[in-house]
Amino acid sequence: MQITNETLFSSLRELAELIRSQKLTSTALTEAYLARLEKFGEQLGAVVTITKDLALKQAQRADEEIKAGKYKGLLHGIPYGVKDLLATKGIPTSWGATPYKDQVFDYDATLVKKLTEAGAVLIAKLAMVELAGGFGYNNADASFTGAGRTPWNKDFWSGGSSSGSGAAVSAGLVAFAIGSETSGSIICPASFCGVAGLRPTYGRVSRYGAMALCWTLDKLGPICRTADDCGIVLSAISGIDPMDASSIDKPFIYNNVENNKRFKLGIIKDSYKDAQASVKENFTNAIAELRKFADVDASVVLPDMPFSEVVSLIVEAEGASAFRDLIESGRGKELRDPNDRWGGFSGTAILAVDYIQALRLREPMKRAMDGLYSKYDALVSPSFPCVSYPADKPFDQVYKDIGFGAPVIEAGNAVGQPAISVPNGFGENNLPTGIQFTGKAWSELTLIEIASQYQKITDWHKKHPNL
Amino acid sequence: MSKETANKSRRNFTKRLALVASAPILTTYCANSIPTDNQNVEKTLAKSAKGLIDVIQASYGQNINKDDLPKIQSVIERNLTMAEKIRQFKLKNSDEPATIFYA
Repeated sequence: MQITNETLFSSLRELAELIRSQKLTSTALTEAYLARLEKFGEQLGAVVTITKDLALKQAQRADEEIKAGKYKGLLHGIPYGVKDLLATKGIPTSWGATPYKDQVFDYDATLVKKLTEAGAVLIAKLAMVELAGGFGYNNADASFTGAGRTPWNKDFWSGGSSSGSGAAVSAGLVAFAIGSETSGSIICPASFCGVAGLRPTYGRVSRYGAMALCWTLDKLGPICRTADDCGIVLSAISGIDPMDASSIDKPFIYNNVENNKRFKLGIIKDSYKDAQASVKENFTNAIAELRKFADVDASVVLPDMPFSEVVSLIVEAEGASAFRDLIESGRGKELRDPNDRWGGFSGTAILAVDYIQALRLREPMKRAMDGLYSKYDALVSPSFPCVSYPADKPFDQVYKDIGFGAPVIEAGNAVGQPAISVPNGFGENNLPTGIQFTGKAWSELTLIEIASQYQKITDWHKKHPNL
Repeated sequence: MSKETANKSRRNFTKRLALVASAPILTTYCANSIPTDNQNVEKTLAKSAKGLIDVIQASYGQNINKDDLPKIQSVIERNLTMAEKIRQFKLKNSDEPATIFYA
């Protein structure tokens, strides 16, 4: 069959059916995505390494297996990319940063292994903000590959720190991608690129082989074109791993979401009052859509606890420890963003007692958040209070009238809860906006069900950028 | 809104952006949300920050551009202010840190 742009923007189920039925070979699909990666990857600042040889080998193997009747499942033969903080044997893993750009590991991260076992085809290591943003960057241009750009308007940022993962999925350069989130790094690019991004519960996905920024907060998760796609990928990458003591034995089994049950949703009322006008308008419109399949309580308030402070202190302290070698070597000066060149030093001066105090607060926070979530299937807020930032201006010089409001992202990350962001419209400069559903720990299935219901009655996820 | 308040709020937003876009220095946002009318606390934090910047200089001075020292010191002050805010939340002796270690 002829591969068109429409094919490359298909959902995972659609692509899987074409491959399973052998109407399309994995090799042909892989070659088509590779061609698109080569054409658009660099101009979007989305790619670090195209793994062409490996991809073609994996695709050929997939085709042979499928022909022999050994179909492995929905990801078999599907091309994907990973954020360049996941170790891949024999292929550079740069962590987005000049001091590490030639770094090569001799093993695959557990997540990469799992996707290989599922028959997926690795076609690219995707760009990211250097060191996953751990040192306090203030510009889109904070990666040795340059600024990540959203395919909707290349003058604007693709978000961070999973910049390339968001842009590559949005531009149809890969069928799906993997990102990571310490505090916002999946939700932000998903929102700025108009795609779906799922932050799993802490412990759901093994971190083994992923760059550590913050051991107690880092999570790996899918960035895809639909919520349903996120469920498919999460089911392949989740599970306990003896190499990661934080991973938990809670299998995530996922089938097609077909139920039409009525949900109970809570709107976090302080999450959008100071947001950009287009964000507010799109969010209000989205709530009207949600009311078609959910009972909505619009008066939810997050517990009054220092979520942002706890996350910030923990990230700074663990980040300074994780990159102490870099800080001590003086090679931090090679980082791209001016703030990143000095941003690691302050973390070395956080007192141990303050760091431990922050860790101690996480359990009471969890109890408070669990209490709040016991009344709802999910809480809802804008994914981000504004559309994306200009790629050529420091963040602190734009959007001067916007406020973040309730610390939804920080609260969810502080207590390890999952979230999913899906697109809900467009705002200034033809840039996408997103809506975020957050839930109690291990509630990914419910979040995917809700987001999928929303996507069944809207078509924002079916719109694609014209590159 | 006074110019100073506007600037603070601008810094707040940028730091929140930086933090939620994976981490960095949301810190000012937090610091600004702490009541700062207690001059003694402010003085103590400023003194502590000065002490800590001296430690950093002693340890890493050769790797730090002098122009960056005031910026580092201001982040340290923010961190101390955040720690102070965290400390105000009452914990019981039995509240353990959320760490991962299995023997």
